[in-house]
Order: sequence, then structure tokens, then C-alpha cells
Amino acid sequence: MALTLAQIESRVDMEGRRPWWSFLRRHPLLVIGGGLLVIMALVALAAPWIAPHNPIDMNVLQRLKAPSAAHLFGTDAMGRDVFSRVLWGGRVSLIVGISVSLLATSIGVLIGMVAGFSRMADALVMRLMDGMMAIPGILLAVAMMALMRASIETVVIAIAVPEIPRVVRLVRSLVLVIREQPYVQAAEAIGTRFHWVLLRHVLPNAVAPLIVQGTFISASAVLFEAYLSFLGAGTPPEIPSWGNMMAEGRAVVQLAFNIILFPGIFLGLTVLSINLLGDGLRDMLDPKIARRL
Amino acid sequence: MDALTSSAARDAIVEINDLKVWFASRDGIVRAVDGISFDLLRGETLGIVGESGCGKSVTAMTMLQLIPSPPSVIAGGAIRYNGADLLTFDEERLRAIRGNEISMIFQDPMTSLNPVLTVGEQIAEPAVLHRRLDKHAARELAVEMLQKVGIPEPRRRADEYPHQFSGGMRQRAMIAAALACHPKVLIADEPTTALDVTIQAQILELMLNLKREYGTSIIMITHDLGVVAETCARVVVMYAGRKVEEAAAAELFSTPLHPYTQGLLSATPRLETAPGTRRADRPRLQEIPGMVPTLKGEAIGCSFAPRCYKATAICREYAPRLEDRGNGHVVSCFNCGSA
Repeated sequence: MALTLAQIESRVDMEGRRPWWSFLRRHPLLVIGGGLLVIMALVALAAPWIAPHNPIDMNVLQRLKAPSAAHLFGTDAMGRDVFSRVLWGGRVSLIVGISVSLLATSIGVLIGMVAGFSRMADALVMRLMDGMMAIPGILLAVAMMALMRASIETVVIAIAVPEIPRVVRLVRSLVLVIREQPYVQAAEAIGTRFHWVLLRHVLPNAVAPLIVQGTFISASAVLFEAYLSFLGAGTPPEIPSWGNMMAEGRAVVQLAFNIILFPGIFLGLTVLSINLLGDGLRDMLDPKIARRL
Repeated sequence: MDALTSSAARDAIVEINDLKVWFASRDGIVRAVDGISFDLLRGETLGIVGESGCGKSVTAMTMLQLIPSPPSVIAGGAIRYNGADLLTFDEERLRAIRGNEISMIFQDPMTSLNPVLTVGEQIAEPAVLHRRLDKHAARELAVEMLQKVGIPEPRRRADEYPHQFSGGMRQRAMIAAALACHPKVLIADEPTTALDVTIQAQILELMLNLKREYGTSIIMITHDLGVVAETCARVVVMYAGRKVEEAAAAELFSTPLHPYTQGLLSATPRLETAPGTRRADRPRLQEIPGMVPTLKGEAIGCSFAPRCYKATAICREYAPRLEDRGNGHVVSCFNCGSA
């Protein structure tokens, strides 16, 4: 079918303007995951204002109540409002998810760069990392929690440390590839200093895969926090977190299913949204995969 | 030009003297460059030709000491730039030379530009490093250089990223970056190999024009004799890490002396055949029999002897020395020349 010039122009014009939904069509995972995550984050941030009850107020007369108008998600064994606790618990997950991925990524980048650039350090660092990866992450985290006082900060550290070796491996392999690129050699050939080569030429080219890895770390950190709290080795019991709530609800699961159900749903949705976001980012940032689609 | 006059009288900007670059490998020492000497005169374009692995690029990279050591070892010799031996320079002084006085163009324009920086930033980078230009001045310089290398709409193009440039335009951008500091010496390591033929011609012409404008001396490293014929005044032919012949370009093409050079020239396809020859009667394209020798261990005799049709017993016993056959035509061979 032959197109008239006007028809072609109108199509080109449309392409040039890019309506808002074209982004959705090209990156559906990114938009869905990102949107869901933004909603979760907003709800968690707004918890002090939208939560109908104080999440740590106990009410002995209202124990183990089923969901009702007064208590949307019911109450737990101590008569605390599950809905308010779920909202507040989102803050812990959010804080842990973000700070673990930032901490693990930044430490991993530092160590990975050293390993990628220095042959001597490489052998030592990578054996150390292999050793760390041989220990199950949850055991390492529980052991670290046993040594430290329970608080959000120590939870973040305990979760971040087992994640570091994976970042180190990724960064090291990226550096090994990037440092052989002709543009790195070209930068050296014009007299660029070593640290400047690293900052300006090597690191920026490693950012895309690092962002993707960072989102996956943050999804796994949210889960990890729940594991640790469920095992009683995580967030201290006075702070409501999804893992805590499920651990406490476990004892009464046959009486009040809602205490475990609602934090579980929120946990699942949050992890799902971060993973979708990560997949979407990978498709968008990695041109090799994106072109195949 | 009289080759017997001293290099000082010939006004050499770079003198390479008996340079040896060896690589330590698991099964022995690889003599990638084994005692090469040549001079680059001020304002001259010197060609270095030879097949892959003969040490052309190693020689060039060694001039700026860009080869990681280990595994490379500079086993001897000197590289004098304006009389000072670059091999004695520390890292700090070398950095001041790199990109500023001696700069380099690499073979593959597709990967020699950093994909995450704009072309303009990368062109101005040497000047930012060596002249401490501020952001505004750097951008102006980038635009000016892009204009010089013939890229239309330089102001818009300077803000674009490498993937928005074609191969030929990227090589132009690389040339712009290499010349941003007006270097005295430009080392072009196979600058046109990755480009198609029409773009090749444009890039070579551009380099020659800029050379005239800035008075830059160029070392043109290539395996393409056509590129040499178009651009170079003098040619060094390398084989297995050694110089086998050096002559003015015209003379090298008209009367090649070394059997290897003769082989290279007859292995180049030609368009001109006598009119009326049938396809079957045209001469078959010649090849040089055999393979490039491994550079491991010490070479005994002439390294080309195993592939040479003129080789005699002496070639396999002793390495021939470079002899001057007049007019600066130097060759290392026992069995060729006037005799």
C-alpha cells in the first residue's frame, strides 16, 4: 500500500511527539513495577497520617478481632490494629530495601574496582568473596545479628554484607571488560590520570548493569528483612515490620489468619514491584536485550 | 636528501635507536620489536608497513609507553623526542607529553570513543587536561575542531553522543581530539583500516591537510601500501620485529630491494594490465609463501630466510646488517641490491 506524503509526515510527527502512553507501551514492566512501588512507598511514607490507630497501642478488649470497619485488617493477639501496623511496617521494608542496596553496591563497587585493576588484590579479594558466598546469606546475617544489638541499622548491615560478594563479582567482571576497551586506552594515550580514567571512563560505563543489580538486591533485602524478623533475629519487636507481624501471627494462625495474610500480601506486592522495575530497567538500559525485543 | 648526514642536520623530531621490546610469556621471551631504528623528521609523514604481528603497533605504543609492563619489557634502545630520551621519563613527565605533544589515533573509531560522554567533551579532553581549559572554552574548542575536520553543524554535533556518529565521522572526531592540543607528532595506528575505501580517501586527505596547517609530523602505521603511496614521504618496512628496508616512498615502489618488500608489492592487486589481455592471461596475484615466524626465542640468521626465494646458506646462519644503497635507501639483505 502506497502512502501519501502527508500520511508519512503525520506518522513521523507522531513518532517525534511521543504521546505519554508510548513509554508505557515500550516499557510496560518498568511502568507497572515503578507505579506499584511508588504507591507502596507513598503509603509507607504517609503512615503517620493515614494510619487510623497507633501501631503499638495495645487493647486487651480487642484481641484477635476479624476485619471490620473499625479495624480494616482486624487486630492481633495484643489487640493492635493490623492495618496501621502494615502501613508502618512498610517504612522498615522501604528503609531496609534502599539502604541495603546502596550500602552493598557502594562497598561492592570499591572492592570490585580494586580487584578488577590490581592483579595482586584480585586473587586475594576474590578468594575472600568466594569464601563469603559459600556461607548461606541467611546464616551469615543471623550470626551477625547475634553479635550486634538489634536495630534497623544492624539489620541493614547484616543483610548488606552477604550481598557484597555478588556486587564485587559483577563489578570486577565489568572492569575487566571495560579496561580493555579502546576508549580507555585512548584516554590513557592523551595523558589522563589513573583515578580520572576510573571515574570518568570506567565507572560510568558500568552504571547500567549496577542499577539493575541494585534493584534486585533491594528486592532480596526486603525479603531478607522479613526472614530475619520472622526468625526473631531481625527488627526489634517494638518496631512493627512485616516479618515481625508474621512471626507473631504464626502462633495464632488458626484463630486469626488475617494477621499473617495482610503483611504477606504487602510483602509479596513490594518484592514483585521491585523485581518488575528491575526487569524493566534491564530491558531499557541494556541495548543488547532491548534490541532483541 | 642525503641519508649520510647526521640526524641533527636532518632535523629529526623523533629518533628511535635500536629499540627492543620483549614480552615475557609462559613459554619464553617474545621479541616483538627486536632492535628497530628510524628517525621521524619535522613535518614529515613516515610510513611503517608490515604484516600483522610484525611489531608496528608495539613500536608505536612504546613511544608513549602505553603497553603494560609486565608483561612487556623494554630490553634496550632509546626513543629520543627533541633530543630527550622518553624511556627515562617518569609517569608524570610522560603524561605531560601524551596527547599534548605526541598524540595517537587508534584503528577502530567505533570503540575508541567513550559511549557515555558527548563527542564534544571527548574532543576537548586533551586540552582540558593539558591546558586547563574551562567548560566554556573547552566547548568552543570542540566546536572549532569539529569544524576543522569537516563535520557539518559542529555546534549541534558537539553535544551528540558517539552512537549518533557514523564510522567516518567518528574517525574525524578522533582526529579532532588528537589534534586539539596541536601536537608535534601524531601517531596514526591503522587510521583507515576500519573504514570503507571512499571514506579512507577523505580521512587521509583530511590528515594531510591538517598536517600542513599545524606542521605536525605523522607516523602512519599501516599494512595498506595504497595508504603509504598516497600519504608518506618515506617508508620503513618491518618484518618480525626488525626493519628490513627503508627508502623514500617513490623509490621503494619503483625499486624495492628486499625480497619481502618485493613480495608485499607483488601481492597488491593492480588495475592496470595491458589492454586487450584476456582474463585468463592476466598475471595471478602473487603471495608470499609460508607464515610469519614465531617471535619466541632468539632469531638466528635472517628472519625472512625461511620464506625467501633468494635465501642462501649464509642467510640461515647470520643476520644481515642494514646497508645503505645510496639515496637513503637502506636494506638488510645479503642477496639483493647492486650485486
